Amino acid sequence: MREKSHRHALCPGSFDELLGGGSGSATVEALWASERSWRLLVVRALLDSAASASTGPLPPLTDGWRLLSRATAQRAAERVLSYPTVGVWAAHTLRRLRGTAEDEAPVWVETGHLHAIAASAAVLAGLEFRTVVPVRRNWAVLPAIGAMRVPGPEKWSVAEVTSSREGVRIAGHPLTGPRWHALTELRADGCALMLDHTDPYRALRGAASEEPVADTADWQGLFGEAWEILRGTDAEEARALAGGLVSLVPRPRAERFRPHSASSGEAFGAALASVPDDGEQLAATLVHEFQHNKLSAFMHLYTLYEGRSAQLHYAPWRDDPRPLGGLLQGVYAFLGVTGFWRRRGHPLGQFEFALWRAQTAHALSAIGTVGGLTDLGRRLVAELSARLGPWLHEAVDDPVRAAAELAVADHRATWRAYHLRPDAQDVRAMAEAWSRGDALVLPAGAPALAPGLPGRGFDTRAVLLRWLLADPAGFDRLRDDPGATVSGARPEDVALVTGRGAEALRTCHTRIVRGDGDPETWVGLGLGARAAGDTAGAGVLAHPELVMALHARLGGRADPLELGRAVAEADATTRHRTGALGRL
Amino acid sequence: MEKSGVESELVDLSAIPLDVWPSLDLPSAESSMRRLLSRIDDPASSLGGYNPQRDA
Repeated sequence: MREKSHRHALCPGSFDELLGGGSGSATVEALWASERSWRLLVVRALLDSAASASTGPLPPLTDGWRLLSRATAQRAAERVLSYPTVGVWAAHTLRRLRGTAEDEAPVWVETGHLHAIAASAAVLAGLEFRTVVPVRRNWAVLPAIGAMRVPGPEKWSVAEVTSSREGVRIAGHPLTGPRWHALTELRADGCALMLDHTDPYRALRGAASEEPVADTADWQGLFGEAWEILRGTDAEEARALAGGLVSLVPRPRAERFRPHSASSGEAFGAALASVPDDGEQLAATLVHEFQHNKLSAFMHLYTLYEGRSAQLHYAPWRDDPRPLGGLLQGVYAFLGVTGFWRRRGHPLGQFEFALWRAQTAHALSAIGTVGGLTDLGRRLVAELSARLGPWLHEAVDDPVRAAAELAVADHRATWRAYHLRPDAQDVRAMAEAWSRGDALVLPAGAPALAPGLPGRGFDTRAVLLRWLLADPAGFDRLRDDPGATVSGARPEDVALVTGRGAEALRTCHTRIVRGDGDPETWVGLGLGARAAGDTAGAGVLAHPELVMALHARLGGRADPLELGRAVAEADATTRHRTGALGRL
Repeated sequence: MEKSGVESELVDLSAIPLDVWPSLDLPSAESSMRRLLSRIDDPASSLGGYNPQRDA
């Protein structure tokens, strides 16, 4: 059978909204429509690839598709086809069949998940049917509905699902009672999300543990609080978010001020989040992940960059170097996050606003120098920059601004110290110049990227600043043993964030001279020196990888501060020359 | 979705009956399928988030 088709198109208003990082409800509705086509393509690719694969003890996949087709004639069942985890399943299983992903489960368990999807749709459509679905480690899952515990000796088995006038049963058990774990719906006035703690594909990166999260009670209160904040912050954007997100995947609580969250281009409508500290943090997370969702859907429609760029770059919100696609996702998400915190006037809100506007501006500026963007990609960067631009000049209280500047300098320098390596010949030449007593000259070439293994989160000092701004009493309690509360934090970090730069400088200097100078200590030295008005601070913070390499090359005999001052002087000379050349 | 807007690279499958989709020969979907498969083969590009690298 052959049929004609046409392409999706966004109305100019929606197109412009998305290019600027925004969206209204109509735009989100358009994205759902285009995502349905994307979903059908992924599933079709999967069905084509699975045509010759064994279905194990399950019926042919054509049977599952037939039931799904019957069910989706009912509007209620369409939401199963569009449900986020169905996209993760299809993409992950397709990757397995193409040999680019692995999983412990037999292939038939993964391809056969189609029967579970069809069963869910048929249940929601109110059809009478009988089918067989996979059972993973004693759990039979109906996507978007819940999971039934089906004990048995086999790790991978099957269970019958029946639906009749008597109700729905899985392996003979009704969808009630202690074996059944229904998804919890988080409800607020104007927004509802499924708290998906059972779907095997909820983790967004392939299959997850089958064991449901036992305690979901906290989430309802936090969600209600978050929604009221979102609605009070920007009612139109909140409505768009409510139309765009359908599920929230709970993850265990993380350290305070260190939430985890994620989303996937294959799972439009889903956000994965650790148990938040409070409703405000959850609100910021939902904004963040909704931005990722929107950009991913936009990128299914239009091409923003060409090729699969292997080149990695600095991303100010991550500890690891990221590809161009990750940078674009980050600036898009953090523009939304910056806009959220801009409307939260308390000290922590001002800090987050000042921090993320600076980091987003830095990344947007860097993306402009990276090759690979299409014309549309460049336009997106220009639109985001134009929207962010006025925010860079908005007033923030001085102490908060200083705290944000510290966090920015800390992250950039620590990233350089871990992931950049200067050329060995350049370092040797500089070491020889140092030994002769000559002025240093910075290398002409950029240092190479050599991703390292961070010893702690690059946000450690920023987390201490958040404690200080949001909970001064709590900060006082942690300052004697900061590492017990904030992983990786040391006493000199407390000194740095509380304005005792000279004390931090002494501690870091002593440790480096002793031979224990890790990247965090060198950056601490730079921050402490800068706070004390020592030009060494500028040298160390601008080129920590170079100062560290030079110090090591000189056998640890050169004073770290003197090296920092010499590098700062070389940096100033280079900038002066570059500026003079630029004026010629 | 307005038809007179900014045309995308993604084929619109909204009019395709689901029951025929697995066997439908649709040449107009081929370029969309190639784009999709290039993304499928680059899974690192699909995941976004905040500190997801620390999520064990």
